[in-house]
Amino acid sequence: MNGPRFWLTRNSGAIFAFVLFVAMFVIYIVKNGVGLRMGLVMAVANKGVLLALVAIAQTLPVLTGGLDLSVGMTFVLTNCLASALLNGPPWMIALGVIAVMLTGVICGAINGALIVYGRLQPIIATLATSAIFYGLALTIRPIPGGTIDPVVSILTTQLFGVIPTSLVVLLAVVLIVWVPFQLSMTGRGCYAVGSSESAARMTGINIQRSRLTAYILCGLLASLAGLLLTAMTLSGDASVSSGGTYTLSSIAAVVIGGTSLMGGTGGAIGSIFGAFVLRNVSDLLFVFDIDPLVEPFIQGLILLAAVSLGSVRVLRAPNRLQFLGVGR
Amino acid sequence: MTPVLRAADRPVLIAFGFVVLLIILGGLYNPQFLSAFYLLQQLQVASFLGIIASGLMVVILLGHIDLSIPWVVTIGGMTATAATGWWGEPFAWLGPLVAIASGSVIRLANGLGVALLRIPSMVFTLGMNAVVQGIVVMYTGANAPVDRATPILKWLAVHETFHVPHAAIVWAIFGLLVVLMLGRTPFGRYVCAIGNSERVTYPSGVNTRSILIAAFIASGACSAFSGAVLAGYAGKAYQAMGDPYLLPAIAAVVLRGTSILGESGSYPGTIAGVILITVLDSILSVAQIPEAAPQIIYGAIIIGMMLVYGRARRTEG
Amino acid sequence: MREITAFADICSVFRNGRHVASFSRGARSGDEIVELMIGRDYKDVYPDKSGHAASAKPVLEVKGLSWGDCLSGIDLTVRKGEIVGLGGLDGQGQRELLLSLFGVLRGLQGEIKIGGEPRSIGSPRGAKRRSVAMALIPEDRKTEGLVLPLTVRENICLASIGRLAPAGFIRKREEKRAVDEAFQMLSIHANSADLPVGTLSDGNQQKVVIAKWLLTEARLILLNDPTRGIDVGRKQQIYRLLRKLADGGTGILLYTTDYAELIGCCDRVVMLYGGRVVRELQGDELSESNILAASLNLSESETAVGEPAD
Repeated sequence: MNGPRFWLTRNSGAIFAFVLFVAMFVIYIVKNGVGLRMGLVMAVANKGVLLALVAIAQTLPVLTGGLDLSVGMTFVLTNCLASALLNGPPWMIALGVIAVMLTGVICGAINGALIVYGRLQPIIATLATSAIFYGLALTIRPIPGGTIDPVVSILTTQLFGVIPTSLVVLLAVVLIVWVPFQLSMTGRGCYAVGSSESAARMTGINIQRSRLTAYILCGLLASLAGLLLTAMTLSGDASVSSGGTYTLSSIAAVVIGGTSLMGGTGGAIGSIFGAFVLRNVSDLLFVFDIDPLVEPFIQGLILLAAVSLGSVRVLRAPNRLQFLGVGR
Repeated sequence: MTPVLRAADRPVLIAFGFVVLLIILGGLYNPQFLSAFYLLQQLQVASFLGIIASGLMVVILLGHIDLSIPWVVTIGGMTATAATGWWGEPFAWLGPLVAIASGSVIRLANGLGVALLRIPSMVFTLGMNAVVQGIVVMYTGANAPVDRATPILKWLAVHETFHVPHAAIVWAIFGLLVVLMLGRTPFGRYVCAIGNSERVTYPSGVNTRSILIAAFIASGACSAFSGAVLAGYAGKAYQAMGDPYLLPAIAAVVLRGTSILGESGSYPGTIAGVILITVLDSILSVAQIPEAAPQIIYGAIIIGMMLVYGRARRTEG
Repeated sequence: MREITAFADICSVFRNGRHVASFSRGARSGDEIVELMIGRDYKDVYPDKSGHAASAKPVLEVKGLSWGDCLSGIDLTVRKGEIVGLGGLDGQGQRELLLSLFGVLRGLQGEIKIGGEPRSIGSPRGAKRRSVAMALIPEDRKTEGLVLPLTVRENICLASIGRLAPAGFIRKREEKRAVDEAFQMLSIHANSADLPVGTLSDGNQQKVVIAKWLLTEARLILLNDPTRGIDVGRKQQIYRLLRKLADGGTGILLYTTDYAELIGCCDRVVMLYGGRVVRELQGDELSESNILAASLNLSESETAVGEPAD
């Protein structure tokens, strides 16, 4: 069970998403006809990284067999908070960034605590907290706006004139958060919980800690995306539709990236490419001159297609009892 | 009566108790709260939510959820008014039927995805919501369909018989149907059994797939019809008209303790939940609390009630 | 057995969840071990066999049934009024055989005849149809047989509720009558039929599962280890009930891991090994040593032992 073939099978989802993205990007560049310009790359990168961060965030609870429907609203809430805090002298801004990230951690911790200690179903708990987060965001910023120190927008430029800074941020997240997490005991625990909770418990894995960590990291990553959004738009906006869209898209990105919604298999890398695929849809619509109103339709369709593809095995299952819910 | 039954009824009593308490509190704040006019008006406003919750309750009893409520409600309202534009004034009465049909078709898709492909219902319905949104937005953008409420929709929503708003009567009819279906038919038995364990129900020789699909269709019909009535009440159908109803509907069903895990449930509790939410909403708006507050309160209510009644049973290996 | 004598230093025997004996290698002969495994006191627990079913018409005929790696070329007949045992070590395809007959497994090969008519059964619902009238009492009553939070009444009627509602609405009076009947026939001990079934004792829960299927008026009943984890008194009641049903013309296919049950209860025993039928035992052939030998597939040839299923 080793060697390149095993690697291919295990990462087939991520590879599929990667190939799909490259194909879409090439079509986009060719059809656009202006060549590989910096501005073009920047735009694609910035939009993609935003969703990619939220998708990585979503990946963690999904790996444990859960789901976070509040990830979009955490993103919106931290965006609104950042729009209120990120101005003044540099130390104030630094403090503001820390405060925003801390808020993300708290949001995740609330979700995690409700699910782990309150033993609520992840969907309902996070649906409810998403309403609360939205309420808070609306309280902070009833109308879009905010004065933000332009210094923050350094995140949206490019490093050494060629590499989009946002991509560097994404890479840093992968290297500093995802890779160590995946290798850690807790991260392995998340995979174990997702594939079989009872087996994980029998193996002596600290299930509670793994779950809690997954939701907390999810909140933290969503707040990073919130910060990045603030840097791009230089304003805060408590928008229902943006929160909802990001939640939906993050699930779609996770699924396209090959992470099973049942938990236990997949990873953040696939989700990143899944996010880029989704973000590229609107660009493709643009170059093919299709009404942008179609976008939610297409995104929903992609989500449905992605989850349906993963479910074809159900129709061929040799045992008809196999996929029925056991008494919960 | 057995202790079990009493335990199940307690949330209902608590919810109704809260309704009374809220109305009395509101009465202290403003005596108009206690007038028959106000109470009937509340019943009318509650009925939209009530009709949606009737259908959602069946789905939740099955152990599933439907997050496509917002746009199914919207498409119900849109098609109910647009029917006039398609076939002309004489066929306006078809509007509510078209609404029911459109809602049923969408939820049929949900049911197929959940029952045949075994995709988690929340994910599939979430995706479906986006697809329906896309369809409605595209169609409206290109065709500008008639969105003015037709007389029959107004008759359904705001006309009164013996001072009782028709919307409340419609709700009562839907409620009666749901109660009959759950309590007196094999379908209802199967719904409760599947909600507790499809693993047992299927080998008992029950076609659990068709039960799941039928439940989704029924709930779609409820949501879309509610959209039609809502369009009659508001005077027109508009985009995103269903957006405010998702959370309250779930909260109302969950409130009574129809646990999201799909255990046994009773309809009176859902009624109590719907009225409680509506009265709460109305008091909040009268007290001029900003828009953000209801969101936080719904969220807190759902979490609070779930912590008390709906604890997920630990899945011991 | 050969693995045990080849590898084990100390050997412990368990029977019906109880520790019977421990001894070191070579301390007991093979026959002695078998005696320990079977136990002695089994004769009077079982009702008398009728023995006149041998000439009756078959209810179930299976020819060359195969499924994946689990079942290969199974031939099997169950006659009216006959209790046929399914024997063999645990996990030789017995469960899969029962599930495949009941329409749960996909991709079957072979022929299944019910009452002489070839039928293809695609789901438990199809197996329940009047033209087939099959019932399956599952192995694990808590996860497969009962909806624990629902009441005893709802559980008993779950499989037959369609018949109690001819016009679409459940006739409460008929439902009550059916439940009362089931209570009496199986002597179920419960304070009320409106209690959650999870509050009953294990033996009573198993009776509820059986009652659920008796109400469907099945002519062929498949049982998957129905007496596991039940006390001896209740077991005896279940044996009597099975015999009574058989005498009434029902065909019964009983899988059990208890050798004594195979010998005491069954008219005929079909032994499975590695997903194949290795031997059929009836009459005087039904003995511990024969069953044990067939379980280990020793009788055919000492050298050509088939691969175990897993």
